[in-house]
Amino acid sequence: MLFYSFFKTLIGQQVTVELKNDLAITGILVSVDQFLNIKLDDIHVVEEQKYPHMMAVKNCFIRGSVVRYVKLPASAVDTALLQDAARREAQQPTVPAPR
Amino acid sequence: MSDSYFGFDTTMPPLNSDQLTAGTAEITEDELSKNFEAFALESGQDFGVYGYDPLADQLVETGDDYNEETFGNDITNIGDDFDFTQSNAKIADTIQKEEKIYVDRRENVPSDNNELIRQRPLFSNLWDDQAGIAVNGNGSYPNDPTTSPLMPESPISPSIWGSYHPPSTRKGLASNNRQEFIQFSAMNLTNLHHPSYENPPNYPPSQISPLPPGFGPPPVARVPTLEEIEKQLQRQAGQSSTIENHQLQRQAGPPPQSQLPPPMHNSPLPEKRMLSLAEVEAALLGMNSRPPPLPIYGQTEGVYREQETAFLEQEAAIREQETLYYERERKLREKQRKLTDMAKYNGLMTQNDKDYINRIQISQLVTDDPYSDDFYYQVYTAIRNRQTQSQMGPFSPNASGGGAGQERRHRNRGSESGMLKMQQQVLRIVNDARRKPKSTQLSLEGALGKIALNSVRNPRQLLQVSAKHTDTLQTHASPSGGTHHKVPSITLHGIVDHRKVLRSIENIYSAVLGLEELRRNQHPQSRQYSDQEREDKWLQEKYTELARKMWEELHVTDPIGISFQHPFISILSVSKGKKVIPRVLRHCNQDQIGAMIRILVANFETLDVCKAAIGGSNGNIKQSILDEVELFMNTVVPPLLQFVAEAPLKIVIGLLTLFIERNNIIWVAKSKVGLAFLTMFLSRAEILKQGGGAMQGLPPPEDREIMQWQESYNRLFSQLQNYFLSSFPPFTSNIDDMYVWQFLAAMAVGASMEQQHVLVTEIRERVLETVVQASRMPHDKAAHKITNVNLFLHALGLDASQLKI
Repeated sequence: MLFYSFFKTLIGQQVTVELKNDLAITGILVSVDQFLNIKLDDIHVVEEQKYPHMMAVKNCFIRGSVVRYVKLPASAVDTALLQDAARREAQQPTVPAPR
Repeated sequence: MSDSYFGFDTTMPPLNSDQLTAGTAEITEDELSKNFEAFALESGQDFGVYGYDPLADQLVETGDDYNEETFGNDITNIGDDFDFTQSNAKIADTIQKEEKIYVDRRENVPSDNNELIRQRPLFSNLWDDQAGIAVNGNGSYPNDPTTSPLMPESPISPSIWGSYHPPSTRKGLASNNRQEFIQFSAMNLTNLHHPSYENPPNYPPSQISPLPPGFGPPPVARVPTLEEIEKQLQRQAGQSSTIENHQLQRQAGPPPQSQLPPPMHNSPLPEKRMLSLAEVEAALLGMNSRPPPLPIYGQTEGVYREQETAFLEQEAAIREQETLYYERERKLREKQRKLTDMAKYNGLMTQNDKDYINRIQISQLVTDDPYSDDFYYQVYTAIRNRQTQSQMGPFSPNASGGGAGQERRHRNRGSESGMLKMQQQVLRIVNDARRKPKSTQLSLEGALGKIALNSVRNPRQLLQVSAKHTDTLQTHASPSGGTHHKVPSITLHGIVDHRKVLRSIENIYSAVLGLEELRRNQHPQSRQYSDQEREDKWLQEKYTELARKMWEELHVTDPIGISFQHPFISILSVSKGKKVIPRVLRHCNQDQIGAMIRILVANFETLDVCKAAIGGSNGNIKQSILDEVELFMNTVVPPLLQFVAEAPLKIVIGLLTLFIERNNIIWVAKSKVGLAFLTMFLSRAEILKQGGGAMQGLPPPEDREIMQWQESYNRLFSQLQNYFLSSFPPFTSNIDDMYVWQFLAAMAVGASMEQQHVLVTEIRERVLETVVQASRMPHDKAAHKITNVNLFLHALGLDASQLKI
């Protein structure tokens, strides 16, 4: 839930999503769901020469499982708060790991 | 009777009596067979058993003796044995009759085919005369009758297929049909054609014909026709003539398309034509609501009626409008096509299905406590909203609710009642989920493995760090390393284990987070419990418990000197330990803060921001240390400064004395943090001496206290004497030395005349150098330097401008 919660705060920011097939797409984050599926708007591909077929695409939906990296604007991340959120998540009564 | 090559059904049911009586022939089938039988008796022929003619048995195969008798020098005596044609001639009459019955039956079929039937070669011809076949073919029949296009003809007029006619061998008929069709369609087109496009009186029908090359762009002719059809449809919806028009459109469409070069402005793709047809169909069915025709049409129509001559001038403008219209039309069609393409998936899911999936998704996301599951988002948006609020003023629309408000607005899009229902369902789901704790795995009986039940809140773990593993490592290492490998407790061994410190810090954080959560829940608006007091008491107990735990983890009260580094100082040596301090202090009382600052002052030398931040002769300090110093100044100092700024003189004296006694002042004074603390104490004491304590309701300091303070100050001054310059960072470094000037100013204010003199003599060089340096700098930087120097000079009643360089 932390990542979902985190990405929700990035809605409206420009992010670069690098996929597992090396395609990197920059666009405005429109929405994200609990599977970290991502919707981008106003997209453009980082290496346009390499992927000319993507030039006509204006927005896209990315399945969460194919994402390798998401590059975020540093100004939109509250690291201290993120640490706290991580602590809270660690604190939560979790079921013991299956042995 | 094989008549299959005419395309008729050879397996016809037997003729019934009605048809037979209606026909010209009186004979029935029974009669026919009777005739056969009679004939067979007459001629001695059995039609069915040629192969078994007993006469053949009498032949002697090997001998030629009877050849003469057999092959006939005397043929008259042969008899009837081999005269098959004779018997054929006898039944021919019957066959002819039967055929007449058949033809009469065909009379009921549409008249189109009558001619064909009449042209069909009669059975009798087949029997009577072999040459008749060729004659009846009219010379244009193909020699092989089975490939003739004659028979498989649809009952509908062939003209409907327009250009789809295959290059038929029946050229005469086909071209005849086409000619008719062309004239027909041209007539209709002229009728339907909008007067504004062509001049109707001069509109020759041949223009519509596909053949002449001078024909205008077909869509020009076609689309207005469509338009007209629509109008007509609107006028006389439901009348049968619409279908006629529809068919006309079908006819009019294809021929020009297939035989003309593409016009400039609108490529007449076949696909597009199909679209238009589909549209007309859709219009016929009333499925789609087309936009009303452009007003220009009605307008021009009126113009045409009134003054036919003027309309030629408007033609160009109209054409422009037209192309625009086509473009719009095309897009509309495209959209329509996509919609209809998708429409086949309509209604795949029932509303129940959709609700079910919505419920699943929402139950994953909605929690009773958004702060526990959606902590980052909630707090982040709350912080952001507060920031924007402070920028936009208190009346911003987001003022209430913060993140929750945003959530609410998001959901308002649905219908209200549906949303209410959904909310109730979600509430139920959440309650259900709370009642039965979620298990992460499920082992079915007989199954070999376990089925993991992963969810958003409990994702599949890729790393499983088991506590057991570290335990075994620990026990494994202990025999060789003895007790050294065991995590040393801080108080027992005197060595602070870094891991232990980090653990302590994390515990502090946990406690702080718990305290903060309790604080947030302290003022719930809508909590209407009957036992609110008990609730409050319980909260209070929990709060004090957590606060106690936090205080213990801080190790402030641990006795000094037992461990090499005081545990509290160790905590402050870690950056996240520094960061937690302001949050910790919010939950501390004044005594606790006082104890904390005393511990800090007493162990000031051992602080990393003090000991590591003192540069050597070249003054090089690592960037990481500078960052730590900056962090310390921003996190730890401000709350302590606030504490000191409200403290009475007694406490300030105590702190300064402790500071001087416990630390090497000359060394500490080289660090930024040390100077900051000294400045803090000095300025507070000076304010109190001048009666500033009245603001906090403190009584003016007693004379004894002022005496004590003066004593402490003198000690400090005497220790620092001759070392004031060493407090400055090296001239070459880019560090802003403002904090030094601030400290010197604080010293100068409290100094006696002699002390001031000493101070000025020591600092004079630095002052002059700085001013000289400033004169060579760009204006803004120079101004900053001069301001720094003035901090000190103003305390002495001087100004940098008075200096002569």
